[in-house]
Amino acid sequence: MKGVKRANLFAAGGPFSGDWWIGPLMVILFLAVWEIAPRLGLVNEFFTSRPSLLLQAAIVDYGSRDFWSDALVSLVEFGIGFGLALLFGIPLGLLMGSSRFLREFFTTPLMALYVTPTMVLLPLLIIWVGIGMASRASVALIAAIFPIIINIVAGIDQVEKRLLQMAKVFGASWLNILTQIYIPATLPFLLTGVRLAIGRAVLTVIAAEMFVSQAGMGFKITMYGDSMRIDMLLVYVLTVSMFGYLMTRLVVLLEAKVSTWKQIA
Amino acid sequence: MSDQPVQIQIENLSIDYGARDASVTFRAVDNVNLDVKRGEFITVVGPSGCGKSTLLLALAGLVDYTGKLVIDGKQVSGPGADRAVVFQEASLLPWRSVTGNVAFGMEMRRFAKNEIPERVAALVELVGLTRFSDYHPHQLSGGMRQRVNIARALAVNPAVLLMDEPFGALDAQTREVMGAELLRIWESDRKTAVFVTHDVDEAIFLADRVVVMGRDPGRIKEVITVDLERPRLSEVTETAQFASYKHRLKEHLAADRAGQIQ
Repeated sequence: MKGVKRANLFAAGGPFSGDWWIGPLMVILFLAVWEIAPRLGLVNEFFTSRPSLLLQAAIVDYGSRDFWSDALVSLVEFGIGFGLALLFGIPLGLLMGSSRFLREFFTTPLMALYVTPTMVLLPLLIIWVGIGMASRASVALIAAIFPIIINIVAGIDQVEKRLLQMAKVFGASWLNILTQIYIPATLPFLLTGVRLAIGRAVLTVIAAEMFVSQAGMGFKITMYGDSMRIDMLLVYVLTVSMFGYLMTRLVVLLEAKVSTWKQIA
Repeated sequence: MSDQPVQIQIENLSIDYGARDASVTFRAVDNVNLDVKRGEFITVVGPSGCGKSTLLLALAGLVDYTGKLVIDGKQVSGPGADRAVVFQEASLLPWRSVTGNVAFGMEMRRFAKNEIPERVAALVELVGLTRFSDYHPHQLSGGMRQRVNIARALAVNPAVLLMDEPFGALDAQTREVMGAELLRIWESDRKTAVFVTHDVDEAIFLADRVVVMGRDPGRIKEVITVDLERPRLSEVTETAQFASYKHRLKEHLAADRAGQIQ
């Protein structure tokens, strides 16, 4: 059984399928050009920096307490915002998906908020909860909750009516239908929503820190930008990218695991 | 069969479908009367739109009706533990294995937890899927899915087994095999069965009595008793007796088609 699961990862479209080297190749080529071009004087190093300079800056940064306290601030803001988005988004999505009334009731405000750039709410949130971490966490919550809700509702929509009818015939209660049909059927959709939510939450936390903050990754990015420290700035930027990438990758792996039954070719 | 008590009583049963405001209604089933004895295998055959599936859904407790519909002395008012349905589409849970799907009905009806695995294994064996018990629906053929569907319904040990064109989506050959399989399984404890189909051969092959329905409005035109020996093998379809039943049924269906053209 384990062997079968592993084989799936290498199957066409899986994360380790035959084309796995194309992505890294692109990265390596890019790094090489970036390192060589300033050395040959093709571009001004002052504006672009170089990977080797970045590496030096990274070693300094990762060894400093400052860096980690900033990282922790951003991580906590992200964690609270994203965690609350899951906590509220999942039950809200399930309720909206399974109740016609609630769906009609919430659809318009939800859609309006979804297409509004979340950052415009930041000034309002600052008035409500202050300029502390709470404002950044709540803007991340708002950004992250919509893809979760919307994907769960879409997941419930595609549950086939005949499955519900079948469950009724066998005497399934509302709770049975929720736990045995809606939740397993919606899980792959929830994970898609989570994947989108991670990106949105990271983006808003960093952006919010760039606007109003005295700490955090976004604050440092602005600071190093203002002082033209491209190498330091890029270390922070790349750290944020890596974090987002790894989180997303984790969800993709979970998705592949959960949705084997969805491959109804 | 005649010595058995009546299990299902249907009197003046009508079913209307309509918009919620009831300004437009459509009579799907009109004034149906039928008694089904315990252990009897009834097939319902008729053209599309004759209300045969609707009648079955009423027996399952899934649609509202007017008139009398009594099973074991109780008026039907919703799905009940005394009935199980085999749907046309297998309607299996794609994230559950064969075993998990067969267990689903038992879990919903709160069978004792320690009783489930053994009974499920026995039923999976009865429908010949032991080798595939860990497979998921998308790994099974259409015929195999319907075997799971049947096993799930039998697992809850219903007094009445309701089947809504269970082999309708299968190719002709698989369909014949499944019909014979169903009879073999049914012979083991002869539950009361109501089986809806539009296939004349299937209707005769399975039935103690064939209920012929017509359309506009959906009603019973005739009930034909099938006097073929049981247990039946597929060879019975070659006999002259089978052919004469078939001839009678086809006349009804031809008359319906003629009516439609006018």
